Amino acid sequence: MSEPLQDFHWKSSTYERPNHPWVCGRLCEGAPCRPGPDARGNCLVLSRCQPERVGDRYRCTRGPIHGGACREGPLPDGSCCQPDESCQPRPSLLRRRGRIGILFAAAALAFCLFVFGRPTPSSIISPGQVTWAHADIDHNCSACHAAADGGFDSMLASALHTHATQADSRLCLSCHDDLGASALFAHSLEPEQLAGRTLHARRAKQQSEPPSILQFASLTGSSPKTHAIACSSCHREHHGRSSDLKTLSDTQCQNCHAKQFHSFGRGHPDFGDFPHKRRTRIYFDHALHFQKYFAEAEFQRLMPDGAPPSSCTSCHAADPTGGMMRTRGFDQSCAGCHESEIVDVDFPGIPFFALPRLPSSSPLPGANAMPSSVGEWPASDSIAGELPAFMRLLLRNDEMFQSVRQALVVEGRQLMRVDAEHQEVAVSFSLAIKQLLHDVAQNGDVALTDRLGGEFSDFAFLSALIAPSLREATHAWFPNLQSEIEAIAADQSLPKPEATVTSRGQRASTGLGWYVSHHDRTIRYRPIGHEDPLLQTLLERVTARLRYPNSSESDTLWSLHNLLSNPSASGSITSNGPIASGRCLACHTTDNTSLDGELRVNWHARRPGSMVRPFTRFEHAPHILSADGDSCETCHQLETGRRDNADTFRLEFFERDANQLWHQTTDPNHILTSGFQAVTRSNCRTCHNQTQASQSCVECHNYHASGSSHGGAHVDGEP
Amino acid sequence: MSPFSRRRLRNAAMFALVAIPIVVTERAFVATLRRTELFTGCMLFGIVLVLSGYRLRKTVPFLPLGTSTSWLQFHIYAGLLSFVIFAVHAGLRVPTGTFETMLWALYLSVFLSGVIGLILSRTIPGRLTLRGQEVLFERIPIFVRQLRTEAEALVTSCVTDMNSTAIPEVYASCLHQFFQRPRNLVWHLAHSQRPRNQLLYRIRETERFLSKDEQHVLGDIAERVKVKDDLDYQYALQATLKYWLFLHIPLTWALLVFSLFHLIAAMAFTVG
Repeated sequence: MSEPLQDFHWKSSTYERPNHPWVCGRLCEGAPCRPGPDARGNCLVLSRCQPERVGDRYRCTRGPIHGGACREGPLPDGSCCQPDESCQPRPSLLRRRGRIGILFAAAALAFCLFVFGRPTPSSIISPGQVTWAHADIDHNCSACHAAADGGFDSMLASALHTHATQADSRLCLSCHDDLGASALFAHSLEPEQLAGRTLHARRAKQQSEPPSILQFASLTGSSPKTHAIACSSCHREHHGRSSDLKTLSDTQCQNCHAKQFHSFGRGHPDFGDFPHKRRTRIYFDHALHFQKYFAEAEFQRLMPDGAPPSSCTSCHAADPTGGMMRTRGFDQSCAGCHESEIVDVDFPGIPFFALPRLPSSSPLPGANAMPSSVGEWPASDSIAGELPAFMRLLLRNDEMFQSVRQALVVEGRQLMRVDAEHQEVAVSFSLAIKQLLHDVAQNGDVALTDRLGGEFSDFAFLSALIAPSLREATHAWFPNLQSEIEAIAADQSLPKPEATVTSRGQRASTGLGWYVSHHDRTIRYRPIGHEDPLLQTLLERVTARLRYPNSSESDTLWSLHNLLSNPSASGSITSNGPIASGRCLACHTTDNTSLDGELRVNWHARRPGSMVRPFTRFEHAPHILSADGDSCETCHQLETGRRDNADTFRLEFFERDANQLWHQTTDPNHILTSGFQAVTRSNCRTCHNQTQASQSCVECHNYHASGSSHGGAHVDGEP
Repeated sequence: MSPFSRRRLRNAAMFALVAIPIVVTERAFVATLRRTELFTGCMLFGIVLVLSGYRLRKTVPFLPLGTSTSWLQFHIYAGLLSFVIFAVHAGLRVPTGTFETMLWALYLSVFLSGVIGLILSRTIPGRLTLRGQEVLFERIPIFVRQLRTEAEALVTSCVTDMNSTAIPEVYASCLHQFFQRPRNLVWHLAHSQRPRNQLLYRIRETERFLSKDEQHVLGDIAERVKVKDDLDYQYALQATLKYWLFLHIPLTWALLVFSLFHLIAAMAFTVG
């Protein structure tokens, strides 16, 4: 069989029209009719006809296109003799494909209308699960989308409304209200604030070329610096439960920045003062402790078990968030060596009241050669220190006392050069003090409170505490005070003292708290331990009233403050440092941070949440490679080289005056403290480089400068 | 370089000239924290819309809109461009939302069916020249009927002229079904001649029991079996060329509908 099946001659081969919607129903049998069906799917084959009667005969009327008149002709009754050969046309491939297409489109449309046409959007149209943080509103579209309420109409209207994004951002802020009033502006800062920071950044030296994509991006237009930015610009939701909403590329971070650079390893600005923007709140010199106290054997006998701390974690532990390393507190970290210094019974307590020593014609020891009009006046062994500031507060409104102080030369507690013409003045001086003691003996703490008056009423809490000691001292030192006061009131001469009360042989108390020291005629207070409530309250109230720099109005308060801090709470003028009973301010710094010069005592080390560095964070926990804290020294390297022994205290915390006496400094803004070298970028680059850990901006930087949603992972200079 | 290669090189260069700036620009906009999803989504929707218009071009062949070949080339490279934009738009990840997953699967189905169609249209024409005669797909049933009629006439002649029942028995047992309609389509798509050889083997086995005249008739029938088998081969390949569109085009319509609603939802829910 060699004849070709297909005849392509134009005369004998029919023209195929595959784009016709219908084909002959007999095509599948291999016998399609020549004309085929019409465009509507009607078969055009007319094998039968309606015979026409011509005279007495019937004639076939089938047209030539349908085969012409049949040979058999009509039947005698005039009906057609041919069978019906028409077919049922079938849809062509094209039409069948079109039908399936329509079916698919209709099914898709029905599905979409069902899903989108509901009053509240179906979860089917959710583009994905939200993160765990938003899981509780996963099925509540209207919580985040203003367009979700009102069905498809509302959706359609929102689609054409250009301000929908800002409306949705406001919905975000209905929950995230801790981002401040400027939450939608760049870095959650007012544009003016941002402009200031930008100006500052522009002054920095460009250290490397920005990435090429950023150079190209700069051609796409200006970045949003002054208008609100939608939350979704950075936080892309619906990417699954475990997706990170804070994911941001380095180029996205740098896009708006005035100074752009290649990466953390190439071109990132140096740390400058990071992490030590300010000095620590609690003074602790790591270098001195590690290089001297922990290293030299002579100090180890003072330590618990005779051994220094084994590692950094002996005193520090990560907070629950892992953000910062907190000190374990005084009891765990310091008490072993320093508790005894606070409750040191060998050290005199803090003086609150002291009898001045009147001039004597003969030097000590022995009886006083005081004017007889002074009356009874006890002698004392010691004249160290000045008249206590609290005592001066009690006598500040006593005109007799104040006038006498100006007339007499007083060195510490000693009245000097009381010649004959000042004898009466000296008598008045002593009587003012006697009157104070008498008032206390008669009226108790009420007398003290009255003397403090409204101006110093915040110190009235001391009245009830010191009054018993004052009564005890009055009874011991001035047993005839009542009769003397009565004689003065009656304008009679004072009775001659029967016997001089001397202090010889009487030693200081060995207890804690208030005590009367008979040997130097003082009333003192020894701290009962760390966090002594009296000293803490007193210091807070004193510093709250102080203004820096020192002002004349607060001389007495400064004296009281110095008494409690520096140079010696013992009242000694010879101490060369804050080594005083209590020693509160040897470790607890005082800050002058406010514009009006108000001082504040730092009782605690920095705590999580005190966000001083809004743009930067560091989490210690992931960086601690071993449980014993051996890895700390990788970044926190001690200062090298011992300081001069004369520099006992770091200059960031204490300064020396002309008399070589130490004073606290109140400026907290010091870079690098605690005896560590500065943490540099090279410390971080050891791991954070192209081959190891991430170099991403958001690894260490916060975007939102305001708000408290960043946890406790901010470093502001605390070790 | 052949004209076909030259055309491919030219079109690929044009494709790169369009695709690379789109990708780079999108990356640049992403770097500036601008929302590019809407932009790329609209672009993708527009391209799919244009691609679906390729069918309309065929309905108006009388308009001077360029050659069909040019349109096909445009369709192919625009389809590839759509995939690039799709990758930029959706990322190389499977969505987690139901509707988006359906849309994602729809697009990929349309794209992959298009790619498969492209591969078929490039490979099948060559295979069609390997076996059988050049025939129009629409006429294959006619030729099948023609071959069947001829074979049955030969079988009938055996009974009437030679009073032989052997050939009718062979025909009834294994050839009757074969001549009814196109057969062994899957074997033909696999380019296998195994069914054909099996039939011819049956015929050859019968041959030795027949007389000379009967063998001559059986030889004629065997010739028609070969022609029919070649016709089936043509049918299988040509049908494949036509029927892949039954997947590609309906899915395109569904994709357009889904895309439209997705666009509305995206514009409405582009949150702040």
